[in-house]
Amino acid sequence: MSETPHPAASVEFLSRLHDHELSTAEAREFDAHRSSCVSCRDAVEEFERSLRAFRASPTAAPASDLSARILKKIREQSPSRRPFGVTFGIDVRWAGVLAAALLVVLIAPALFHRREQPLVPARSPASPEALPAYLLEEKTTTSKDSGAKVAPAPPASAPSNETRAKDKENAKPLDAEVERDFAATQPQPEARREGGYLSDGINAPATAARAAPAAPQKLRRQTAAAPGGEAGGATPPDEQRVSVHLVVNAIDGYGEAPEVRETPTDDSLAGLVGREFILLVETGGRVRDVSPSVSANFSLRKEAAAEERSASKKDGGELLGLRFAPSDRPRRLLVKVE
Amino acid sequence: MTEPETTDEQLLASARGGDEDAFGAFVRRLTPSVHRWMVRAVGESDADDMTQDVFLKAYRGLERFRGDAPARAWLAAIADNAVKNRYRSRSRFRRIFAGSSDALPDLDPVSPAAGPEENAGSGESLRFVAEALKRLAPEFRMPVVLRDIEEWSYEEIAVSLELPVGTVKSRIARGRGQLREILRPRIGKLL
Repeated sequence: MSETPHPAASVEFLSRLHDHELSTAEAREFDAHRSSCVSCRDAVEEFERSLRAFRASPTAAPASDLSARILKKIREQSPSRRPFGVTFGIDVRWAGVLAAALLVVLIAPALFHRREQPLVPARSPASPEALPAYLLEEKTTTSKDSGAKVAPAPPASAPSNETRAKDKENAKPLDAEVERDFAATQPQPEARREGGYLSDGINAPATAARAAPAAPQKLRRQTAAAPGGEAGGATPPDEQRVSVHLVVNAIDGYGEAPEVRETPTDDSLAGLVGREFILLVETGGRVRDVSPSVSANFSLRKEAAAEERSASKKDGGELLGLRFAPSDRPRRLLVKVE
Repeated sequence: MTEPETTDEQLLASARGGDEDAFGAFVRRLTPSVHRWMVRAVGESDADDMTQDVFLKAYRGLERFRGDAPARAWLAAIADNAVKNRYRSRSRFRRIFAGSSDALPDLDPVSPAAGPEENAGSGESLRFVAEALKRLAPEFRMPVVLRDIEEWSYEEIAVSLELPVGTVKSRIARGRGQLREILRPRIGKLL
């Protein structure tokens, strides 16, 4: 028996035995072993006696004034305990609320301003008097034409119908038909957010790269009626002129398109109806380069498809006659001829 | 008269809100318990100071009382840390000035002429037990006190000291074993 391990040599075993945490089998086995093992009996006895002695050690009651002394000591060392959340005499909770309110006050005007900006009608900076009379006329409208040269586009950040309606209200001169065409050629909101006004065209990468900073401006457009109309919508009904309409959009991400100062004659532009062109405009406002663009939505319109074929030989050189307001950098514009 | 109706946790919640009377009531209510722990854990001579230390730490750490454990368990954890810190600093002191690195402090004499024979079978023998407890490793003291004196369950101790139950069981078993070793020379005369 002396060669068998003594369970009682382990304090863990003795502790479990003391706590009655041995399993039934373990307890039965140990009882059998203990009856014949003196050292295990002594170990268990010694363990239990030491614990009994520990439990029986004196526990004098604390002095009656111990609590008072403790509290006095606490008051001495922490004279005035501040409520939870108070640091250096400042209530952190109220300070947090105040800071949040301050943040709102500081940020809200900026946000408001940022949202309001696209809602302002993107009128041409030039006064109506500065433009040729034919630029003052829209093709089909009657009463709203008089002051309309530029129509605002819906802001990219809020392309909802409500916002568009608001924009339209702000920009009353917007031609209804032009607005319809514009909506038809608008890409989906996602595409617009990615600067993809020409996402199906060759200019998509260039516009996408710089679209984010000036997306609202990029979506603005400027329209101008072709020569032949009369200012104030007073076109004599007997005149059957071909009216050409230009829709100008900035696609370079540097804000709205500059105003049109000068346009070629109506006749020269008539052959370009239904097409789109990309214009590279110098800082002085002169058109340096014109290249045809492809826009599926636009070019596939039925009435333009036939002319598209016939006009394919043209390179849009007539648009070199366009003059824009000077700007601080060369501009890249998309011009639709309608 | 509101003290009996108010739980320990409610008193601490009020104290967190700045109610010093509530903390006073909490101290008065729990001073006997903490003092009892400390008598076992550090000996009678240091029990008052340690009790005071525990409540001072509790007061300073009121924000850390989350209320997800009983207030007594929270207090026991503070007591456990106080005991360990006390003997950790003492051990460092002894190593510096006596060149000793013993894990256990020396057994303080019960009386100048105390010997096993004089201590046996008297109040002195019980005092000897209390003094002998000072030789227990600090990390075992509060677990053993809470288990064998206060009769807390292993789970309660584990929650209080934020230790796994297995670790608590192991520490208590080793503490009990150490206690047996400390008391072995006089165990026959004690009880």
